[in-house]
Amino acid sequence: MTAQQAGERDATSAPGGDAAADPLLSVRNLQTHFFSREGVVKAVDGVSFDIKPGEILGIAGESGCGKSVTSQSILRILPRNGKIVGGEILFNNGDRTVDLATEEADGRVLRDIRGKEIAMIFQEPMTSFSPVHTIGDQIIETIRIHQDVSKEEARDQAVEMLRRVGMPNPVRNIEEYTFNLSGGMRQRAMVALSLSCRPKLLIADEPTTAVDVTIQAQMLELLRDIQADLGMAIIMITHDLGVIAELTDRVMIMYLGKEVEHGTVEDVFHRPQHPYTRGLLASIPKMEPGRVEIEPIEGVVPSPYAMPTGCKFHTRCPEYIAGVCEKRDPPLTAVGPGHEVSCYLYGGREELE
Amino acid sequence: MSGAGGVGQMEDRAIISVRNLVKYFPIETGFLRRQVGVVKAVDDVNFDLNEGETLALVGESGCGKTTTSHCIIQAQRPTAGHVLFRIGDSAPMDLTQMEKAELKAARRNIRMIYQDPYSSLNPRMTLLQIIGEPLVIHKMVESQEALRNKVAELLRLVRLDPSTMNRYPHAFSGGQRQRIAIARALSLSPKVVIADEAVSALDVSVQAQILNLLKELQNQLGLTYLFVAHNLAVVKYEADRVAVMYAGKIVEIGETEELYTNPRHPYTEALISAAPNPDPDTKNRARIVLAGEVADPGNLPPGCAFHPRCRYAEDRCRREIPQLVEVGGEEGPSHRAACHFASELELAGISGGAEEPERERA
Amino acid sequence: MTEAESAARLETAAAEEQADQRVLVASQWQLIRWRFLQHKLAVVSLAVLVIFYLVAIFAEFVAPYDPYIFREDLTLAPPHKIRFIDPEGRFHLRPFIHPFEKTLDSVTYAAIFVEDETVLQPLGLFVKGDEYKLWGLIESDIHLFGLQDPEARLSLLGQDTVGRDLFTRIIYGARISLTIGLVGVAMSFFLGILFGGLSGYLGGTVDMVIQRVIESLRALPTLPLWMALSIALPSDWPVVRTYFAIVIILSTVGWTSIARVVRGRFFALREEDFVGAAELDGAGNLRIIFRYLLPSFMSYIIARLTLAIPQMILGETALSFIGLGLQAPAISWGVLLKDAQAIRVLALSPWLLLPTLFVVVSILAFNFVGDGLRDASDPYTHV
Ligand SMILES: Nc1ncnc2c1ncn2[C@@H]1O[C@H](COP(=O)(O)OP(=O)(O)O)[C@@H](O)[C@H]1O
Ligand SMILES: Nc1ncnc2c1ncn2[C@@H]1O[C@H](COP(=O)(O)OP(=O)(O)O)[C@@H](O)[C@H]1O
Ligand SMILES: [Mg+2]
Ligand SMILES: [Mg+2]
Repeated sequence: MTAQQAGERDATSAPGGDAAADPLLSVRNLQTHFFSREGVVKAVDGVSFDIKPGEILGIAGESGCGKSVTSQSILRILPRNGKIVGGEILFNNGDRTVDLATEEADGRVLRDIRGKEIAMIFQEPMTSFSPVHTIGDQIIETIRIHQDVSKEEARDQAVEMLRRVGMPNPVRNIEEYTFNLSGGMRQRAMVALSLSCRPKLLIADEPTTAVDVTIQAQMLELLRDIQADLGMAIIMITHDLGVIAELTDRVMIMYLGKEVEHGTVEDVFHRPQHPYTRGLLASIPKMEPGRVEIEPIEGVVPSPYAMPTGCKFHTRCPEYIAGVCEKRDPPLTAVGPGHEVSCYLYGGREELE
Repeated sequence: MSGAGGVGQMEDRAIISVRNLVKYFPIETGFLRRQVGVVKAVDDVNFDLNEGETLALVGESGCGKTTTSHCIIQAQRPTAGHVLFRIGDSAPMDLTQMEKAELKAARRNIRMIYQDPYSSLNPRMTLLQIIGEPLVIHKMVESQEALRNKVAELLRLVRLDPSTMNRYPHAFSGGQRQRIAIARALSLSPKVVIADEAVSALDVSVQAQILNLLKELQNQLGLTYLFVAHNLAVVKYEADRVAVMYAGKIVEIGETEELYTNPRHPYTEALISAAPNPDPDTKNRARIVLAGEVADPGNLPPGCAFHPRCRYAEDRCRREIPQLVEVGGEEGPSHRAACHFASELELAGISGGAEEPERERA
Repeated sequence: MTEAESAARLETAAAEEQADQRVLVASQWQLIRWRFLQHKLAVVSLAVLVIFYLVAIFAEFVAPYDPYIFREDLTLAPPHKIRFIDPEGRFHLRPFIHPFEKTLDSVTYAAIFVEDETVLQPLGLFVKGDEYKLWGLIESDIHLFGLQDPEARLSLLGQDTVGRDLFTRIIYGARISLTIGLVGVAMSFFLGILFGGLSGYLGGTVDMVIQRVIESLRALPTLPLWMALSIALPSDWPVVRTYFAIVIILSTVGWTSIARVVRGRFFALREEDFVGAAELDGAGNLRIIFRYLLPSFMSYIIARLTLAIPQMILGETALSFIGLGLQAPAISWGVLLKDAQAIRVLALSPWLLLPTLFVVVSILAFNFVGDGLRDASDPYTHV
């Protein structure tokens, strides 16, 4: 099975989502490259995944593996030198399916979807807000861009949303500026802003990376609650496998712009197959009584300007098969229901001959 | 030499003893820099760093970990208190009382590694210059040849290729840079290394390499580490003893295993509970999610600084500042906590631990 | 192979791949040069500037005439057409001109210059002409180019109101106009580093006083400040003294921005971990300043300075143009432009505005070079 075919695999059960439902978002063999003076960076190079309504999908991997670029591609908010050079991003927008990859980045369709159907939260809450407007003004404005409601109605909705995300005093908070808020409250305000139009999909790019554990715990609890409450799908992007395990239903592990493994969290965490996934899990010390061992992955992540051929991980892989791994990209191979791995240990070698 | 007579003695095994360490920063406003308050960044901190051990300092950002380590090495002068340092059987010296020249000598034995491997190496110097700098300053090498040999040896020690010594830091990745920083710290053969969040900025796979490297070097060279971190899982792996800080004070200190399985301060319990566990089976465990945010050391609540977030708080906690007192058994190793109810509360630590799930292949 | 060795092998293998060897051992200045060379416009501009400065340095030799020798008969003569084909249609390898014949318009009595097509005056390289002393030292009468007949005059860019060769005067003017920027910037650089450094290094009261002075200076609008200061210059000062006075006036404001940058960088760098680490290494103050602080922002300051030069060139031009800067007999682009003030001149002798072109070109060139340097000056932002 090749990566493209893998995209068309039938939907297998996803614990959090509705198994029978059509995917809300279906990314097919996405390729996003950057063109700079130093060369071409294949930041995302053939990534496919589905997310169903109400499901929580995790995208994990070390820094620079293309997690953020994947999310920026979906919303078409790439930096100017970044281009989607291949693949499809099919978004099921109620009555019709649109390919976000080929729409005009600032055209009508995307402007309607961005913020309303698909919303995003970031690591740094201040980037979501303008410092010169009150939180309320910004939420109200967002609501009124996408919905035909009066100012008062929008205001009521904004207060309600701030209350839902656990702001202590929504009626007062609505008049405040973000710089007056503490870090944790800013995070909550950002979530409120992003959810103000009840999006079907929320993309969270490392929302807890810069905050302390206790605030992270608050944030994860908030996301869990609000997801149960509003039922939107979430793509959680993080390098922290702990966060993935705590929050998500399914996970996709990335390495250097490639999808290496993909399955339910239970499958991927308890039965990791790809040597990279196994290596990552073995690198994290466990919070368990008694002596814990860790086993690092040797070597360093190659520079994006000098990517290895074949399987991107072969330079660090303890199970590297000489004469095979450096030849071609391994295809995605099913190793269980809804569990796929891109590694020659599990098949795909026939195609090399 | 600055004697340390009368400021408290050092325990037998201690190489550094921190006694009543205080660091306040004035809060100033306006044109005339009027002082309107004070940030109690470190407030009466006491602990001993024993020879050959790894003591971790954990806590959320702003709790005073960096300030404590800076005050130990006198990169910042403490407002009050003493930092006693002793090599072997010699008399303890008080670093806080030392003049510049004396400090320069003492700092050969206490070295520091920083968090950000990108800002801690001068981009304008080669590895040879960076790692060799302390050797040159302390006149530890006679010739350029000896310097090169010594730097090559240090590079091998941290598992870097000595032939790279003429390269500039920009040619290295984050993990490799951290190795370079470690080589620089070790160049003067120190006794104590203070690692301030030395692995926090690294990716997990590289972080694991550095954690193991630090452990190996400790075994090989008999180093003592003060390991500052905020990641509890990392600390569990790396440290022999742990001191938990909150708002400028140590709230609990004890042996790692004991502190994690049997925490005696509600803040420690909450920290342990909040740490995300990379195991989906624990997804639905009951978590303690602390409300509110870390106390502002510039505006501390009365009584126990943790009481506004503490689910066990009672009236006494709002009035009285708890002292750090022994809570461990009579004979066991010391375990101290600063909570009025440390001996009464039943707090949960890390639990039974799911068996290592077998990792079968398809 | 032990585990350690294999780890070391992996590390280097991967590091090897990261970039080619050259970059790995490249110093800061090499990286800056490589990045600068990628900036095409900046490289071209740099070439233009190098040519301008070479011409200014060798003005006596490059200029075909003496800037003060005037020919009444050629007052306000237009530029010659350089020709290769004579009236009979024959091609000449060597370019030539037809000399002007001056007549008077019978109605307006204005001078009209007509080419005398019967006479061919060929151009040549290294021709004999007016005598000069290069840098006041080397006596010669050889010029880079000119008409082979030393008596005739080549009007490359026209003649001025008293019949002096404009091209010659623009070249001599470049001397003052282009160097005033450099000297002014050197001065700003010195003052900026001195006061910025003091401010950043000492902090406290010194810092506060210097900052207030800087703020007051910057609060004043630049051009009026320059004007006010230059009005105070006695008009009978010799050229050299006026020149330096103008430089000082121009740098009154220039140094403040450098000082701010230096101070800001000092503060920022003192916070950098590598400076803290050097202090803990036991490095003394001087070592820290010269090995850690200065090298870290020198490249940036140089880029800033390059961007500051055009302002000075413009300042001189503007002051001289309104008569408050240099005065004739000094020759600068501003002084030349002063001649072009009359409307009549603009209409009939537009070539008198040509110095503007040189001002614009040199200013643009400095800006492009400065941009290129600024982008290249921090080679570590990207790698
Ligand atoms: N604007 C850009 N220009 C060039 N390369 C970029 C740009 N943005 C991101 N990249 C590269 O794309 C790759 C993936 O980046 P990113 O998606 O941000 O990683 P992460 O997984 O840490 O979010 C990296 O190698 C990064 O260097
Ligand atoms: N130079 C300083 N001036 C004023 N306040 C400071 C300074 N350095 C640190 N602080 C304050 O002291 C407290 C402790 O800081 P720090 O030791 O850096 O904490 P940590 O390392 O645990 O994150 C924080 O509230 C911080 O804002
Ligand atoms: Mg990212
Ligand atoms: Mg810190």
